[in-house]
Amino acid sequence: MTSSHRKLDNVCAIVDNNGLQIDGPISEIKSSLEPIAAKWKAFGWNVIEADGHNQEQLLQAFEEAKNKKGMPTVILARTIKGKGVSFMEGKVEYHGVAPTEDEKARALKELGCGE
Amino acid sequence: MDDIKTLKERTLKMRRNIISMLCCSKSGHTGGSLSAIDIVAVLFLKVMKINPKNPKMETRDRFVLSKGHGAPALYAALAEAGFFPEEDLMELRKVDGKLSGHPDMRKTPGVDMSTGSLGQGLSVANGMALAARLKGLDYRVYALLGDGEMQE
Repeated sequence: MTSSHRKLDNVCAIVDNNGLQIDGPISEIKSSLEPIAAKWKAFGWNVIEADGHNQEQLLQAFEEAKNKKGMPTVILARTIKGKGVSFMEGKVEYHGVAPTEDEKARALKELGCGE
Repeated sequence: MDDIKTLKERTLKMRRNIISMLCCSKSGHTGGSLSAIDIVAVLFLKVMKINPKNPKMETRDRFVLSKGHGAPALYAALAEAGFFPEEDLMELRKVDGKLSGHPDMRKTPGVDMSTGSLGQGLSVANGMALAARLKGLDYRVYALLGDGEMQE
């Protein structure tokens, strides 16, 4: 609310909206965050929704944010926890756990490393 | 288009670095670092006005990683942007290393705010943004929040 009250158009918040927290899906642990866009709007923010793994979309969103005057912008970025490594994607188990040597080797292979 | 291709390749490399540094440290937050890295990469490699040779440049854009446990994503980006050598990433979570488990502005070049206590990043960003106005500077402040922390 401070951001919009003070008309801080030099503030840009980004929400890494991966839907999971340490103990499981956010929607099961507390109430759902939805409707998340409406909530930010109600607090006086310019809201942009984007795919948080589509960098073209993100670049465009940041450009839009920069050009929006008189109010702060939030980019609601839909993301997938563990994105890029198939056996980690959407798995809450990897919230606060580092990969083992074996998992590292499998992950690096998926990420284009030949070892 | 080449530009985007290079950005994607560099982001892929940052993903590999996240996995490697976390495996090396044997602890840390993998999932949320991988979900945030595309965003952080766009900011540090394309959007933000920063100077790795002068990390404290007064007119730089600021970045607050409110979800501080995603530090590996921030460190991978700082190394890729040239704030410190890539090899240093393996210092993650090592005693006396400059890369703490959560970002520490006193230890790591390029880190604008120490974070990790969730729910506070946006307030800090507001303060930085107000400071820009008072000083007549035109920098922008970016704050990356986790969805989980929004209802902590």
